Amino acid sequence: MRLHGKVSHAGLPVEGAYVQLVGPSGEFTAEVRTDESGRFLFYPVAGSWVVRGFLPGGHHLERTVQLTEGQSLDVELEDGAS
Amino acid sequence: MDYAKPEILISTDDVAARLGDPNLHVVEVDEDTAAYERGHVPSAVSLHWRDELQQANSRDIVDKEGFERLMGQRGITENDEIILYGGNNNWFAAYAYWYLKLYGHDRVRLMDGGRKKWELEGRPLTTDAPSPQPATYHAKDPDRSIRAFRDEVIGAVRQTPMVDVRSPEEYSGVLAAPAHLPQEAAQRKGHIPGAVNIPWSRAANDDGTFRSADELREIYLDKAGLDPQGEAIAYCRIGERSSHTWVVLHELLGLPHVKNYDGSWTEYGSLVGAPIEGGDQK
Repeated sequence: MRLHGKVSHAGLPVEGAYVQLVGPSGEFTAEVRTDESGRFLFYPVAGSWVVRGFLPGGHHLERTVQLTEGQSLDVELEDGAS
Repeated sequence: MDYAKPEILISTDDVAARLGDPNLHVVEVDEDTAAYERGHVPSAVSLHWRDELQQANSRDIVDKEGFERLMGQRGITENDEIILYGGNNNWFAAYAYWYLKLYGHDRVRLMDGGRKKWELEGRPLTTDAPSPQPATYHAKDPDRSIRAFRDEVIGAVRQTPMVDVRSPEEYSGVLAAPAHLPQEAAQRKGHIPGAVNIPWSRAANDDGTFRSADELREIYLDKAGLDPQGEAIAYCRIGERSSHTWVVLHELLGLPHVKNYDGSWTEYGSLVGAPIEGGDQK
């Protein structure tokens, strides 16, 4: 299963944001840095996950997503739209 | 309360203030080994955690002569001050810290918060690779008191406190590896019988810095009940997150009898006949 997505700020992709995945247990599970297109990728399992983005300049975004078995999900972390 | 060894941490502010100091050896160690090429702290050299810190023909640390050669190539002597940093909240930098302690290096520190904090603070990065003057490094013999091996771990099941520092999802066997990695792993999921799950991340703030000594004491001693004078073994998947916890327990909280099991779950979970809990076993 894949959970991928993109971090944007003011409509532009953010490279170098740190995206954290918090698991159904409420604990940190993984963290990645966004690429030049603002993209990130995780390999979780079914359940409720929290995606947290830390952007340069101190911005902080967060979304909760539900993954069902076999699903791949694309998540937008857009500053001001979280 | 302060850390047992507060001097092993250095802030990003203090590293920035000391850039250009010829006596300072900044070393980046990452899981994402392309990170260094993308941009690194000025003057930093890199160490590749697998290609350089592990042997090519066996899963082990490089031998003493190989380590001496490696450090010498980076222009580092056994008396130099080394500052380590890396991505993933310093997982692999902590591995390198533990590794340098195995070979008896005294003056080694971790940049608190690692690469993430440095980047998010907008501090300078360069793609210029330094050309260090080769040096002669004299290592000590490996300190076995801080490293646990397979047979010792099997013999210690339900005898010695073990801390599984992976996420609860890995501990319970829902995941086989951290969720940013494809889920390849050991033959079995689960954990070593009797091991308690204290994810490494409980020791870190959101910016990657270590929590305060009081907070760490509450997490590991008051709540988890680790004995400050007793033995303990930390493990994870491949030994890098457990190095982070080893730094917390051995260096920041001053527990003298803590070992890192760097074979960790990828070894233990593939051993024929080794007992496990959780995972596929119901």
